[in-house]
Amino acid sequence: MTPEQALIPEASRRADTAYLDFVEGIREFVLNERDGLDHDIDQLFAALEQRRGKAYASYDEVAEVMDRTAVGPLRNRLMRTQQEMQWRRIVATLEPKRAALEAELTSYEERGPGELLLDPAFQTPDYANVHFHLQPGGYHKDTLAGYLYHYSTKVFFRGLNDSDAIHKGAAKPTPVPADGQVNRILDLGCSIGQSTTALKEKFPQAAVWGIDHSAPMLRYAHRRSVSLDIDVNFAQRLAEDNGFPDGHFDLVYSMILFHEIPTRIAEEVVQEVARVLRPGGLFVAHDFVSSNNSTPLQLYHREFDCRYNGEPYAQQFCHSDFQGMMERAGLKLQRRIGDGYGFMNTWWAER
Amino acid sequence: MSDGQSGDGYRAQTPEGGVPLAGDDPILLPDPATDALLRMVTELTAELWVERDRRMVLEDVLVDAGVISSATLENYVPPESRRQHYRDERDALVQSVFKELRRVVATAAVRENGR
Ligand SMILES: C[S@@+](CC[C@H](N)C(=O)[O-])C[C@H]1O[C@@H](n2cnc3c(N)ncnc32)[C@H](O)[C@@H]1O
Repeated sequence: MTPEQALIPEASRRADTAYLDFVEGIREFVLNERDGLDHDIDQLFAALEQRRGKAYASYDEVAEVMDRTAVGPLRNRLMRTQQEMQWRRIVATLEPKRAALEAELTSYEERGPGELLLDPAFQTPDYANVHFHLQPGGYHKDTLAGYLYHYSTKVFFRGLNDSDAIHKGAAKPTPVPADGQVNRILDLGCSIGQSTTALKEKFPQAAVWGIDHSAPMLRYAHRRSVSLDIDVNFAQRLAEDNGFPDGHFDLVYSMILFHEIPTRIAEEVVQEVARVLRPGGLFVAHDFVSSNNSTPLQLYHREFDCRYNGEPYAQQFCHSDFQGMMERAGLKLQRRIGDGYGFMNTWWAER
Repeated sequence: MSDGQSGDGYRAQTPEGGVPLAGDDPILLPDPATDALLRMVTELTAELWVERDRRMVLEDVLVDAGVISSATLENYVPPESRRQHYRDERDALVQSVFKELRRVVATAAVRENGR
Protein backbone atom coordinates (compact mmCIF):
# COMPACT_ATOMS: atom_id res chain seq x y z
CA MET A 1 0.00 0.00 0.00
CA THR A 2 1.33 3.45 -0.92
CA PRO A 3 1.35 6.26 1.69
CA GLU A 4 -1.38 8.01 -0.31
CA GLN A 5 -3.56 4.90 -0.39
CA ALA A 6 -3.18 4.52 3.36
CA LEU A 7 -4.80 7.96 3.74
CA ILE A 8 -7.99 7.24 1.82
CA PRO A 9 -10.89 7.33 4.31
CA GLU A 10 -12.15 3.93 5.35
CA ALA A 11 -15.78 2.86 5.42
CA SER A 12 -17.28 1.85 8.75
CA ARG A 13 -18.43 -1.53 7.47
CA ARG A 14 -17.17 -4.03 4.95
CA ALA A 15 -20.63 -3.99 3.34
CA ASP A 16 -20.21 -0.25 2.63
CA THR A 17 -16.81 -0.82 1.09
CA ALA A 18 -18.37 -3.48 -1.15
CA TYR A 19 -21.34 -1.26 -2.01
CA LEU A 20 -19.09 1.63 -3.01
CA ASP A 21 -16.87 -0.79 -4.87
CA PHE A 22 -19.97 -1.73 -6.84
CA VAL A 23 -20.61 1.93 -7.66
CA GLU A 24 -17.06 2.09 -8.95
CA GLY A 25 -17.94 -0.98 -11.00
CA ILE A 26 -20.93 0.81 -12.55
CA ARG A 27 -18.67 3.73 -13.49
CA GLU A 28 -16.21 1.29 -15.02
CA PHE A 29 -19.07 -0.30 -16.97
CA VAL A 30 -20.00 3.07 -18.45
CA LEU A 31 -16.62 4.76 -18.79
CA ASN A 32 -14.09 2.06 -19.62
CA GLU A 33 -12.22 3.31 -22.67
CA ARG A 34 -11.91 -0.02 -24.38
CA ASP A 35 -15.22 -1.75 -23.81
CA GLY A 36 -17.50 0.49 -21.76
CA LEU A 37 -20.95 1.74 -22.65
CA ASP A 38 -19.36 5.03 -23.70
CA HIS A 39 -17.11 3.21 -26.11
CA ASP A 40 -20.24 1.78 -27.76
CA ILE A 41 -21.78 5.26 -27.92
CA ASP A 42 -18.61 6.69 -29.46
CA GLN A 43 -18.76 3.96 -32.08
CA LEU A 44 -22.43 4.61 -32.73
CA PHE A 45 -21.65 8.24 -33.53
CA ALA A 46 -18.58 7.35 -35.55
CA ALA A 47 -20.77 5.13 -37.72
CA LEU A 48 -23.46 7.79 -38.05
CA GLU A 49 -20.91 10.42 -38.98
CA GLN A 50 -19.39 8.12 -41.55
CA ARG A 51 -22.77 7.49 -43.11
CA ARG A 52 -23.83 11.09 -43.37
CA GLY A 53 -20.33 12.37 -44.08
CA LYS A 54 -20.60 15.11 -41.48
CA ALA A 55 -19.65 15.50 -37.82
CA TYR A 56 -22.15 15.91 -34.98
CA ALA A 57 -20.99 19.28 -33.75
CA SER A 58 -23.85 20.66 -31.69
CA TYR A 59 -25.53 19.47 -28.53
CA ASP A 60 -28.98 19.61 -30.13
CA GLU A 61 -27.98 17.31 -32.97
CA VAL A 62 -26.42 14.83 -30.56
CA ALA A 63 -29.34 15.00 -28.14
CA GLU A 64 -31.79 14.26 -30.93
CA VAL A 65 -30.06 10.93 -31.59
CA MET A 66 -29.49 10.15 -27.92
CA ASP A 67 -33.13 10.81 -26.99
CA ARG A 68 -34.67 9.09 -29.99
CA THR A 69 -32.69 5.93 -29.32
CA ALA A 70 -33.27 6.12 -25.51
CA VAL A 71 -29.52 5.71 -25.11
CA GLY A 72 -29.17 9.19 -23.62
CA PRO A 73 -31.87 8.98 -20.96
CA LEU A 74 -30.69 5.50 -19.95
CA ARG A 75 -27.11 6.64 -19.60
CA ASN A 76 -28.25 9.72 -17.69
CA ARG A 77 -30.37 7.57 -15.37
CA LEU A 78 -27.48 5.25 -14.62
CA MET A 79 -24.99 8.07 -14.06
CA ARG A 80 -27.32 10.01 -11.81
CA THR A 81 -28.23 6.89 -9.85
CA GLN A 82 -24.63 5.85 -9.25
CA GLN A 83 -23.86 9.38 -8.06
CA GLU A 84 -26.79 9.38 -5.64
CA MET A 85 -25.89 5.89 -4.40
CA GLN A 86 -22.32 7.00 -3.89
CA TRP A 87 -23.12 10.01 -1.74
CA ARG A 88 -25.81 8.31 0.30
CA ARG A 89 -23.46 5.53 1.24
CA ILE A 90 -20.34 7.64 1.78
CA VAL A 91 -22.24 9.93 4.13
CA ALA A 92 -23.79 6.98 5.94
CA THR A 93 -20.53 5.14 6.39
CA LEU A 94 -18.53 8.14 7.66
CA GLU A 95 -21.27 9.44 9.97
CA PRO A 96 -20.52 6.99 12.82
CA LYS A 97 -16.93 8.22 12.78
CA ARG A 98 -17.81 11.91 12.74
CA ALA A 99 -16.53 12.79 16.21
CA ALA A 100 -13.29 10.87 15.70
CA LEU A 101 -12.61 12.41 12.31
CA GLU A 102 -13.31 15.93 13.55
CA ALA A 103 -10.91 15.32 16.42
CA GLU A 104 -8.34 14.06 13.95
CA LEU A 105 -8.56 17.28 11.90
CA THR A 106 -8.18 19.38 15.05
CA SER A 107 -5.18 17.39 16.25
CA TYR A 108 -3.33 18.08 13.01
CA GLU A 109 -4.04 21.81 12.86
CA GLU A 110 -0.99 22.93 14.82
CA ARG A 111 1.32 20.30 13.38
CA GLY A 112 3.83 20.75 10.58
CA PRO A 113 5.45 20.60 8.18
CA GLY A 114 3.60 23.41 6.48
CA GLU A 115 1.15 26.05 7.63
CA LEU A 116 -2.61 26.11 7.64
CA LEU A 117 -4.15 29.59 7.55
CA LEU A 118 -7.90 29.65 8.12
CA ASP A 119 -9.95 32.82 8.11
CA PRO A 120 -12.75 32.73 10.70
CA ALA A 121 -14.35 35.81 9.10
CA PHE A 122 -14.36 34.28 5.62
CA GLN A 123 -17.56 34.83 3.61
CA THR A 124 -18.34 32.15 1.05
CA PRO A 125 -19.43 33.76 -2.21
CA ASP A 126 -22.94 32.91 -3.42
CA TYR A 127 -21.78 31.25 -6.60
CA ALA A 128 -19.92 28.64 -4.54
CA ASN A 129 -23.13 27.68 -2.77
CA VAL A 130 -23.74 24.66 -4.97
CA HIS A 131 -23.77 20.96 -4.22
CA PHE A 132 -21.05 20.29 -6.78
CA HIS A 133 -21.25 16.71 -8.10
CA LEU A 134 -24.25 16.41 -5.74
CA GLN A 135 -21.96 16.37 -2.68
CA PRO A 136 -24.29 17.03 0.26
CA GLY A 137 -23.35 20.43 1.66
CA GLY A 138 -21.10 21.17 -1.29
CA TYR A 139 -17.40 21.78 -0.71
CA HIS A 140 -17.69 23.82 2.42
CA LYS A 141 -20.74 23.17 4.60
CA ASP A 142 -19.91 19.83 6.19
CA THR A 143 -16.89 19.78 8.50
CA LEU A 144 -16.07 16.37 7.00
CA ALA A 145 -16.32 17.62 3.39
CA GLY A 146 -12.68 16.68 2.75
CA TYR A 147 -13.22 13.06 3.79
CA LEU A 148 -16.44 12.82 1.78
CA TYR A 149 -14.76 14.34 -1.27
CA HIS A 150 -11.69 12.11 -1.03
CA TYR A 151 -13.76 8.95 -0.85
CA SER A 152 -15.95 10.08 -3.74
CA THR A 153 -13.01 11.01 -5.97
CA LYS A 154 -11.57 7.57 -5.33
CA VAL A 155 -14.80 6.17 -6.78
CA PHE A 156 -14.92 8.87 -9.47
CA PHE A 157 -11.45 8.00 -10.77
CA ARG A 158 -12.20 4.27 -10.51
CA GLY A 159 -9.09 3.60 -8.44
CA LEU A 160 -6.79 5.27 -10.97
CA ASN A 161 -6.02 8.08 -8.53
CA ASP A 162 -5.65 6.10 -5.29
CA SER A 163 -1.98 7.10 -5.16
CA ASP A 164 -2.56 10.57 -6.66
CA ALA A 165 -1.30 9.25 -10.02
CA ILE A 166 -3.50 11.67 -11.96
CA HIS A 167 -2.34 14.71 -9.98
CA LYS A 168 1.28 13.59 -10.12
CA GLY A 169 0.99 12.82 -13.82
CA ALA A 170 -0.46 16.27 -14.51
CA ALA A 171 2.20 18.05 -12.40
CA LYS A 172 5.13 16.18 -13.88
CA PRO A 173 5.36 17.88 -17.30
CA THR A 174 4.84 21.34 -15.74
CA PRO A 175 7.12 23.71 -17.64
CA VAL A 176 9.51 26.13 -15.89
CA PRO A 177 9.99 29.84 -16.67
CA ALA A 178 12.68 30.64 -19.22
CA ASP A 179 15.19 31.63 -16.51
CA GLY A 180 14.67 28.30 -14.75
CA GLN A 181 13.72 29.96 -11.42
CA VAL A 182 10.89 28.32 -9.51
CA ASN A 183 10.94 29.51 -5.91
CA ARG A 184 7.26 30.11 -5.20
CA ILE A 185 4.21 28.23 -6.46
CA LEU A 186 0.50 28.87 -5.98
CA ASP A 187 -2.14 26.14 -6.49
CA LEU A 188 -5.63 27.62 -7.03
CA GLY A 189 -8.73 25.76 -5.80
CA CYS A 190 -6.49 23.08 -4.30
CA SER A 191 -9.27 21.10 -2.56
CA ILE A 192 -7.60 18.32 -0.58
CA GLY A 193 -4.18 19.33 -1.87
CA GLN A 194 -3.32 16.50 -4.22
CA SER A 195 -1.82 18.84 -6.84
CA THR A 196 -0.23 20.92 -4.11
CA THR A 197 1.80 17.97 -2.82
CA ALA A 198 2.51 16.74 -6.35
CA LEU A 199 3.95 20.19 -7.19
CA LYS A 200 6.17 20.10 -4.11
CA GLU A 201 7.49 16.70 -5.16
CA LYS A 202 8.20 18.05 -8.63
CA PHE A 203 9.79 21.31 -7.31
CA PRO A 204 11.23 20.38 -3.89
CA GLN A 205 13.12 23.66 -3.52
CA ALA A 206 10.00 25.82 -3.98
CA ALA A 207 7.63 27.17 -1.33
CA VAL A 208 4.19 25.88 -2.37
CA TRP A 209 0.84 27.39 -1.34
CA GLY A 210 -2.56 25.86 -2.00
CA ILE A 211 -5.63 28.07 -1.63
CA ASP A 212 -9.31 27.22 -1.53
CA HIS A 213 -12.45 28.89 -0.22
CA SER A 214 -13.44 25.82 1.76
CA ALA A 215 -12.07 25.45 5.29
CA PRO A 216 -13.06 21.76 5.60
CA MET A 217 -11.16 20.94 2.40
CA LEU A 218 -8.09 22.83 3.60
CA ARG A 219 -8.10 21.22 7.04
CA TYR A 220 -8.23 17.84 5.36
CA ALA A 221 -5.51 18.86 2.87
CA HIS A 222 -3.26 19.89 5.76
CA ARG A 223 -3.96 16.70 7.66
CA ARG A 224 -3.03 14.77 4.54
CA SER A 225 0.17 16.65 3.67
CA VAL A 226 1.38 16.46 7.28
CA SER A 227 0.76 12.71 7.27
CA LEU A 228 2.70 12.43 4.03
CA ASP A 229 5.42 14.65 5.56
CA ILE A 230 5.31 17.01 2.59
CA ASP A 231 6.05 20.65 3.38
CA VAL A 232 3.26 22.63 1.69
CA ASN A 233 1.07 25.45 2.98
CA PHE A 234 -2.65 26.02 2.75
CA ALA A 235 -4.72 29.19 3.09
CA GLN A 236 -8.41 29.99 2.96
CA ARG A 237 -8.46 32.57 0.19
CA LEU A 238 -10.39 33.23 -2.99
CA ALA A 239 -8.69 32.59 -6.30
CA GLU A 240 -9.95 36.00 -7.48
CA ASP A 241 -8.61 37.79 -4.39
CA ASN A 242 -5.69 35.79 -3.06
CA GLY A 243 -4.01 38.40 -0.86
CA PHE A 244 -0.46 37.66 -2.01
CA PRO A 245 1.84 40.54 -3.07
CA ASP A 246 2.21 41.60 -6.71
CA GLY A 247 4.72 39.55 -8.73
CA HIS A 248 5.13 37.05 -5.89
CA PHE A 249 4.95 33.72 -7.74
CA ASP A 250 7.03 31.99 -10.40
CA LEU A 251 4.28 29.54 -11.16
CA VAL A 252 0.52 29.66 -10.68
CA TYR A 253 -1.27 26.37 -11.21
CA SER A 254 -4.88 25.32 -11.34
CA MET A 255 -6.39 21.91 -11.84
CA ILE A 256 -10.07 21.62 -12.78
CA LEU A 257 -11.05 24.84 -10.99
CA PHE A 258 -12.29 27.01 -13.86
CA HIS A 259 -15.27 24.92 -14.91
CA GLU A 260 -16.64 25.33 -11.38
CA ILE A 261 -16.80 29.12 -11.32
CA PRO A 262 -18.94 31.52 -13.36
CA THR A 263 -17.22 33.15 -16.35
CA ARG A 264 -17.36 36.54 -14.65
CA ILE A 265 -15.27 35.14 -11.78
CA ALA A 266 -12.97 33.23 -14.15
CA GLU A 267 -12.10 36.55 -15.80
CA GLU A 268 -11.25 38.00 -12.37
CA VAL A 269 -9.20 34.95 -11.42
CA VAL A 270 -7.06 35.24 -14.56
CA GLN A 271 -6.50 38.96 -13.83
CA GLU A 272 -5.45 38.04 -10.30
CA VAL A 273 -3.10 35.36 -11.63
CA ALA A 274 -1.42 37.98 -13.83
CA ARG A 275 -1.09 40.28 -10.81
CA VAL A 276 0.70 37.76 -8.58
CA LEU A 277 2.93 36.29 -11.31
CA ARG A 278 6.34 37.87 -11.70
CA PRO A 279 7.43 38.85 -15.23
CA GLY A 280 8.36 35.65 -17.04
CA GLY A 281 6.35 33.59 -14.55
CA LEU A 282 4.02 30.86 -15.84
CA PHE A 283 0.34 30.10 -15.46
CA VAL A 284 -0.55 26.44 -15.97
CA ALA A 285 -4.22 25.47 -16.09
CA HIS A 286 -5.74 22.03 -16.55
CA ASP A 287 -9.45 22.07 -17.27
CA PHE A 288 -12.30 20.78 -19.37
CA VAL A 289 -11.93 20.73 -23.15
CA SER A 290 -13.78 23.52 -24.89
CA SER A 291 -17.02 22.80 -26.71
CA ASN A 292 -15.67 23.09 -30.22
CA ASN A 293 -13.16 20.31 -29.50
CA SER A 294 -15.63 17.91 -27.97
CA THR A 295 -16.81 14.53 -29.17
CA PRO A 296 -20.59 14.03 -29.54
CA LEU A 297 -20.71 12.12 -26.26
CA GLN A 298 -18.72 14.82 -24.45
CA LEU A 299 -21.24 17.42 -25.65
CA TYR A 300 -24.08 15.28 -24.35
CA HIS A 301 -22.38 14.38 -21.09
CA ARG A 302 -21.55 17.99 -20.31
CA GLU A 303 -25.21 18.93 -20.38
CA PHE A 304 -25.94 15.99 -18.07
CA ASP A 305 -23.12 17.08 -15.80
CA CYS A 306 -24.47 20.61 -15.58
CA ARG A 307 -28.11 19.85 -15.15
CA TYR A 308 -28.08 16.59 -13.24
CA ASN A 309 -24.67 16.36 -11.64
CA GLY A 310 -24.22 19.74 -9.99
CA GLU A 311 -21.87 21.40 -12.46
CA PRO A 312 -23.81 24.57 -13.31
CA TYR A 313 -20.84 26.49 -14.72
CA ALA A 314 -19.21 23.83 -16.89
CA GLN A 315 -21.16 24.88 -20.00
CA GLN A 316 -20.16 28.51 -19.54
CA PHE A 317 -16.53 27.58 -19.19
CA CYS A 318 -16.50 25.24 -22.17
CA HIS A 319 -18.06 27.97 -24.33
CA SER A 320 -15.87 30.74 -22.94
CA ASP A 321 -12.84 32.28 -24.59
CA PHE A 322 -10.25 31.21 -22.03
CA GLN A 323 -7.38 32.25 -24.24
CA GLY A 324 -8.97 35.70 -24.67
CA MET A 325 -9.18 36.04 -20.87
CA MET A 326 -5.47 35.37 -20.64
CA GLU A 327 -4.68 37.89 -23.35
CA ARG A 328 -6.84 40.57 -21.69
CA ALA A 329 -4.90 39.94 -18.47
CA GLY A 330 -1.61 40.41 -20.30
CA LEU A 331 -0.65 36.72 -20.32
CA LYS A 332 0.78 35.18 -23.46
CA LEU A 333 -0.46 31.71 -24.31
CA GLN A 334 2.55 29.50 -24.98
CA ARG A 335 0.94 26.20 -25.67
CA ARG A 336 -2.27 24.32 -25.36
CA ILE A 337 -2.31 20.56 -25.26
CA GLY A 338 -5.24 18.23 -25.10
CA ASP A 339 -4.28 15.06 -23.33
CA GLY A 340 -5.86 14.77 -19.95
CA TYR A 341 -7.74 11.47 -19.70
CA GLY A 342 -9.99 12.44 -22.58
CA PHE A 343 -11.64 15.35 -20.79
CA MET A 344 -8.90 17.83 -19.99
CA ASN A 345 -6.89 20.47 -21.81
CA THR A 346 -3.75 22.06 -20.50
CA TRP A 347 -2.91 25.73 -21.09
CA TRP A 348 0.53 27.24 -20.44
CA ALA A 349 0.77 31.02 -20.48
CA GLU A 350 3.58 33.45 -19.67
CA ARG A 351 3.38 36.75 -17.84
CA MET B 1 -37.43 14.69 -19.24
CA SER B 2 -38.85 16.05 -16.04
CA ASP B 3 -37.00 17.61 -13.18
CA GLY B 4 -38.90 15.83 -10.47
CA GLN B 5 -39.63 17.28 -7.07
CA SER B 6 -37.38 19.28 -4.87
CA GLY B 7 -36.74 17.91 -1.40
CA ASP B 8 -34.35 18.81 1.36
CA GLY B 9 -31.22 17.31 -0.13
CA TYR B 10 -29.95 18.56 -3.43
CA ARG B 11 -31.99 21.70 -3.69
CA ALA B 12 -32.74 23.00 -7.16
CA GLN B 13 -30.51 25.97 -7.64
CA THR B 14 -29.86 28.41 -10.43
CA PRO B 15 -26.63 30.15 -9.55
CA GLU B 16 -25.59 33.15 -11.58
CA GLY B 17 -25.60 32.36 -15.25
CA GLY B 18 -25.32 28.68 -14.53
CA VAL B 19 -27.37 25.90 -16.05
CA PRO B 20 -30.40 25.36 -13.81
CA LEU B 21 -29.81 22.34 -11.62
CA ALA B 22 -32.38 19.60 -11.36
CA GLY B 23 -33.93 19.11 -7.94
CA ASP B 24 -34.02 15.92 -5.91
CA ASP B 25 -34.73 12.64 -7.64
CA PRO B 26 -35.16 13.80 -11.21
CA ILE B 27 -36.95 11.37 -13.51
CA LEU B 28 -34.71 10.90 -16.52
CA LEU B 29 -36.49 8.31 -18.62
CA PRO B 30 -39.61 9.16 -20.64
CA ASP B 31 -41.61 6.62 -18.65
CA PRO B 32 -41.45 7.03 -14.86
CA ALA B 33 -42.09 3.31 -14.36
CA THR B 34 -39.09 2.36 -16.44
CA ASP B 35 -37.08 5.02 -14.67
CA ALA B 36 -37.93 3.42 -11.32
CA LEU B 37 -37.15 -0.03 -12.70
CA LEU B 38 -33.67 0.94 -13.75
CA ARG B 39 -32.97 2.42 -10.33
CA MET B 40 -34.22 -0.76 -8.73
CA VAL B 41 -32.10 -2.99 -10.88
CA THR B 42 -29.01 -0.93 -10.11
CA GLU B 43 -29.66 -0.93 -6.39
CA LEU B 44 -30.43 -4.63 -6.51
CA THR B 45 -27.21 -5.45 -8.24
CA ALA B 46 -25.32 -3.46 -5.63
CA GLU B 47 -26.95 -5.49 -2.89
CA LEU B 48 -26.17 -8.67 -4.75
CA TRP B 49 -22.52 -7.72 -5.02
CA VAL B 50 -22.32 -6.76 -1.33
CA GLU B 51 -23.62 -10.18 -0.42
CA ARG B 52 -21.43 -12.03 -2.82
CA ASP B 53 -18.37 -10.17 -1.59
CA ARG B 54 -19.19 -11.11 1.98
CA ARG B 55 -19.91 -14.72 1.20
CA MET B 56 -16.73 -15.19 -0.81
CA VAL B 57 -14.66 -13.74 2.02
CA LEU B 58 -16.50 -15.75 4.63
CA GLU B 59 -16.17 -19.06 2.85
CA ASP B 60 -12.53 -18.50 2.06
CA VAL B 61 -11.72 -17.57 5.66
CA LEU B 62 -13.57 -20.58 7.02
CA VAL B 63 -12.15 -23.04 4.54
CA ASP B 64 -8.62 -21.63 5.10
CA ALA B 65 -9.08 -22.06 8.84
CA GLY B 66 -10.21 -25.64 8.30
CA VAL B 67 -13.54 -24.91 10.01
CA ILE B 68 -15.79 -26.05 7.22
CA SER B 69 -15.87 -27.65 3.84
CA SER B 70 -18.24 -26.58 1.07
CA ALA B 71 -20.40 -29.61 1.86
CA THR B 72 -21.06 -28.39 5.44
CA LEU B 73 -22.50 -25.17 4.02
CA GLU B 74 -24.72 -26.94 1.52
CA ASN B 75 -26.24 -29.22 4.15
CA TYR B 76 -26.77 -26.71 6.99
CA VAL B 77 -30.23 -26.49 8.64
CA PRO B 78 -30.69 -23.31 10.77
CA PRO B 79 -32.53 -23.31 14.14
CA GLU B 80 -35.73 -21.23 14.50
CA SER B 81 -34.03 -18.21 16.13
CA ARG B 82 -31.73 -17.89 13.15
CA ARG B 83 -34.60 -18.32 10.73
CA GLN B 84 -36.30 -15.27 12.22
CA HIS B 85 -33.10 -13.32 11.77
CA TYR B 86 -32.87 -14.44 8.15
CA ARG B 87 -36.48 -13.36 7.55
CA ASP B 88 -35.78 -9.91 9.00
CA GLU B 89 -32.77 -9.59 6.79
CA ARG B 90 -34.82 -10.65 3.79
CA ASP B 91 -37.48 -8.03 4.52
CA ALA B 92 -34.83 -5.36 4.83
CA LEU B 93 -33.40 -6.37 1.47
CA VAL B 94 -36.80 -6.19 -0.20
CA GLN B 95 -37.38 -2.75 1.29
CA SER B 96 -34.07 -1.50 0.09
CA VAL B 97 -34.51 -2.77 -3.46
CA PHE B 98 -38.18 -1.96 -3.93
CA LYS B 99 -38.40 1.42 -2.21
CA GLU B 100 -38.68 3.06 -5.63
CA LEU B 101 -42.17 1.62 -5.98
CA ARG B 102 -43.21 3.37 -2.81
CA ARG B 103 -41.81 6.57 -4.19
CA VAL B 104 -44.03 6.22 -7.26
CA VAL B 105 -47.00 5.85 -4.92
CA ALA B 106 -45.90 8.84 -2.84
CA THR B 107 -45.46 10.97 -5.94
CA ALA B 108 -48.85 9.92 -7.27
CA ALA B 109 -50.41 10.72 -3.89
CA VAL B 110 -48.97 14.22 -3.96
CA ARG B 111 -50.08 14.74 -7.55
CA GLU B 112 -53.58 13.34 -7.04
CA ASN B 113 -54.16 15.21 -3.81
CA GLY B 114 -53.00 18.42 -5.37
CA ARG B 115 -55.85 18.30 -7.88
C1 LIG C 1 -13.08 20.33 -8.68
S1 LIG C 1 -12.27 20.92 -7.26
C2 LIG C 1 -10.58 20.77 -7.87
C3 LIG C 1 -9.67 20.29 -6.83
C4 LIG C 1 -8.20 20.13 -7.09
N1 LIG C 1 -7.59 21.24 -7.80
C5 LIG C 1 -7.94 18.84 -7.79
O1 LIG C 1 -7.47 18.86 -8.90
O2 LIG C 1 -8.20 17.81 -7.19
C6 LIG C 1 -12.50 22.66 -7.21
C7 LIG C 1 -12.04 23.30 -5.90
O3 LIG C 1 -11.97 24.71 -6.10
C8 LIG C 1 -12.48 25.37 -4.95
N2 LIG C 1 -12.94 26.69 -5.40
C9 LIG C 1 -13.99 26.97 -6.20
N3 LIG C 1 -14.08 28.29 -6.44
C10 LIG C 1 -13.04 28.87 -5.77
C11 LIG C 1 -12.58 30.21 -5.63
N4 LIG C 1 -13.20 31.22 -6.24
N5 LIG C 1 -11.49 30.42 -4.88
C12 LIG C 1 -10.86 29.41 -4.25
N6 LIG C 1 -11.24 28.13 -4.35
C13 LIG C 1 -12.32 27.86 -5.10
C14 LIG C 1 -13.54 24.45 -4.43
O4 LIG C 1 -13.77 24.67 -3.05
C15 LIG C 1 -12.96 23.07 -4.74
O5 LIG C 1 -12.23 22.58 -3.65
